[in-house]
Amino acid sequence: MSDAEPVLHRGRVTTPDGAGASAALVFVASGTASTPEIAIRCDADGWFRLALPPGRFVIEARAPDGRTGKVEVTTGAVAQELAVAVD
Amino acid sequence: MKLESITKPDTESDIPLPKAVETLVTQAPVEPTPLPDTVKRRVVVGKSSTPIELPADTGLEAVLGADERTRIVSTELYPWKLICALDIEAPWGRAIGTGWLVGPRTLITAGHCVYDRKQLGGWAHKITVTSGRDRERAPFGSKVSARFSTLSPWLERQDADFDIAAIHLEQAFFTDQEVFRVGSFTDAELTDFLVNVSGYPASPGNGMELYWAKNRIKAVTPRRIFYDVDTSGGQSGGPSYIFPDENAHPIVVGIHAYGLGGTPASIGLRVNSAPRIIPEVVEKIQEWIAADAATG
Repeated sequence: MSDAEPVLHRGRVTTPDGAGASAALVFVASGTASTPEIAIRCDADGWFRLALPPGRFVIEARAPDGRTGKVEVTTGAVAQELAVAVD
Repeated sequence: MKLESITKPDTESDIPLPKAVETLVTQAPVEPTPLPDTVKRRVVVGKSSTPIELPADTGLEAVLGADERTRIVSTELYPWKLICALDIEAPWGRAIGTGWLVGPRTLITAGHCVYDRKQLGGWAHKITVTSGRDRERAPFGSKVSARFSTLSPWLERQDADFDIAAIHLEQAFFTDQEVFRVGSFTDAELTDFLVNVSGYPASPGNGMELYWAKNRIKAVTPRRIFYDVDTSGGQSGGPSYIFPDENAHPIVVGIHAYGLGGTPASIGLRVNSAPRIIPEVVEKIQEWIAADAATG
């Protein structure tokens, strides 16, 4: 298991029209380091914060209407902005 | 490659030496509630040494082969009704997780569902607990709690081996006849036990549907159990439980907390894992149950 400290990243889930996906759930679907299996709920504009250790991860989002999307990201020691589109 | 020098700190390690794992199971005050026939047909009981074929490791599988989770619709039945959907409100936002009843007014969940310095911004403000939730249906209602406990290794250093917490309820969902037991078992006793894992994932179900999956305990370390069971975000805190026989109480042996990735090389597998119930954890859970009962 990786002992590297997680870094808090900010991100946004968007719908096909570019709007934020309010109340979408975001979670780590898989990765190269162990992460808690909690799911984070986006705010009303689709924004979320997600703590990740350095590594490669597939981040998945599910909007309340059932639309899903995912993105593969590589994280390091610096916070970055994550973007997940649901369609 | 840049190397860093690490000097041994002046303070001695505060990581406790593991006790020899012994069999210790919380005692039920009454005979177990008989399992309904529909549940008996579903859950796995006892042990099996049948080898399990793992998928090829591509490094980033989303699930372990085909997703074998089953949605449980009859959530009003024992023991499904003991598993609760959690809606967590914390300083840095909201999240979902899973908990389960170990006492009439005591839920157990993952430590990171009540306190996470990096993800939640500290302690949760409050958690809404819905027992046996199935979509909009809440057959036993919901209860809100703002009283939580966790273990010192989790609070102080986010030690994943102690990622365990309690949610204390003001009112009971059920009697002490219908709660999970927790058990600490030796390595030999645990290995090859068939394990049931249940929880409220974000996908599928939006954290509003109960899913269940089964497989076999693949490996154990002094403070973890490892199994290849399909799970995903939202199932943190769910019970990993065994049935010694079909007439026994379900016994939780681990608190599901971590998905694929980062499994120690010594395990030699890509599997998910749970902090293991060890004797010290059984004792702490018994204290939490007794304290909640005393404040009733």
